[in-house]
Amino acid sequence: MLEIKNLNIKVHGKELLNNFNLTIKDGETHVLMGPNGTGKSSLLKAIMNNKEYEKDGTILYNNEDITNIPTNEIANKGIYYLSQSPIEVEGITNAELIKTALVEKGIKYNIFEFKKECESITNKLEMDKSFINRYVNVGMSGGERKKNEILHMNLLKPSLILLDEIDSGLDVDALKVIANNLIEYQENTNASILIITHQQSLIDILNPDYVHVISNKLLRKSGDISLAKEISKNGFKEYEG
Amino acid sequence: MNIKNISGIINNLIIEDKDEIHIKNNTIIKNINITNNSNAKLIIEDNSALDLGTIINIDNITSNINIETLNNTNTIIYLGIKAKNNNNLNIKLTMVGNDSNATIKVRCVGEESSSSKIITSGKLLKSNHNNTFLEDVKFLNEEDSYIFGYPELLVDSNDVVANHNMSVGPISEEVLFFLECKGINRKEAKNIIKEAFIKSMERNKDYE
Repeated sequence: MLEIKNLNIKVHGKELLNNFNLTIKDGETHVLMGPNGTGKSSLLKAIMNNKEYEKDGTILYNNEDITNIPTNEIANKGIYYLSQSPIEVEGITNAELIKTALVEKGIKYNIFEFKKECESITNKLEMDKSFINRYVNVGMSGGERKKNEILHMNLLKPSLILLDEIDSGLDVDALKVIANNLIEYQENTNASILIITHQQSLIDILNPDYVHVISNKLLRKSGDISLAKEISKNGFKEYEG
Repeated sequence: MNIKNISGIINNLIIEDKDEIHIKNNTIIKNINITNNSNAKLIIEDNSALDLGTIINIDNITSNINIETLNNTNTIIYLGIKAKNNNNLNIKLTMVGNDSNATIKVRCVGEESSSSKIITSGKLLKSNHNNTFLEDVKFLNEEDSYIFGYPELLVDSNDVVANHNMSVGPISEEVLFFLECKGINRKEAKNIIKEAFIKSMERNKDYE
């Protein structure tokens, strides 16, 4: 369970979020919506303790205070962050990266089972299995990078997934493949999802438990999926404070 | 001068002071050791090819390596350098003959608190024709390290294709954050970035 209490976030002295509170229970899916530049992406990066952000308040994960612990330790507690624009890392393959990450987590893996699992996941994600031996996100299209990051997610087996605009750069078919994979993963693991998206078709597939609207530094409203539908129709004008 | 003739596959070439190494036929060098205070010369003989691709560690080294290419030669030098402490490395390639291609790629990582001066230069003489030269140099600095780079290209002929570039930068915080988000600690993430930076040179080589 993730609990964010009275969180304030600043970047270069500029306040982005004020007194933000949110609780995500195991297995729940939450959608974050809001106009551009209102601190949604910053919130996810701040949860991962990105050094760019100053913050005060408390972030608890499974009752442990993770507010100021190193990013890798947050990840190893089971939180996976997928950024809006996954970056390229030349010189290291997906397989090498994930095997290193598994070792860091203290997970012993069997190389044959790892290979089998990689092939099974790439198959589900409709990716060529050669992706596993390609350099991380190098030479991949925007959609392929998102799939590649979902491949990492499946292999690292997080219990909370933070997704920032997973839909950007995805075509209709790829979006369905990823959404279905997320649902299957969640069903199998009871993982929680916090996703930033404005894509109604994705929201419909994920069928979130809660939808939250952030605007002008504040959490303006929380509701169910009908709130997303209302925003789809009327926009954010009502929430501009 | 200590004159040495080499050809074929060389697993480890030790470059020492006053060496004059003549590269003949097709030569592949898999590893080199550059001794301190060496001033050496490599000559790529007529109708010969050199393929040198290696990663070296330099630690308090001061050395000058002068390479000369003669007629109808093909020279590929891919050098990954891990620099520790204080170094001064000068690699100079002069295209003496005609109808030749030469590529020098350098990827150098300045390890923590190191200070290095890496000079790579190419020279294409006035009387030469139909030569191609490419110099591609990239440096990556770890915290508190310093690399002085000086990519020099002297072109004195109209009948050449010559290209050079150099870039220098620190380890990217964005890449570090990306790797840390996968659960990899900062120190290991830096090692991955440094290794990957040098290894990326090999991928380009495969593509060529």
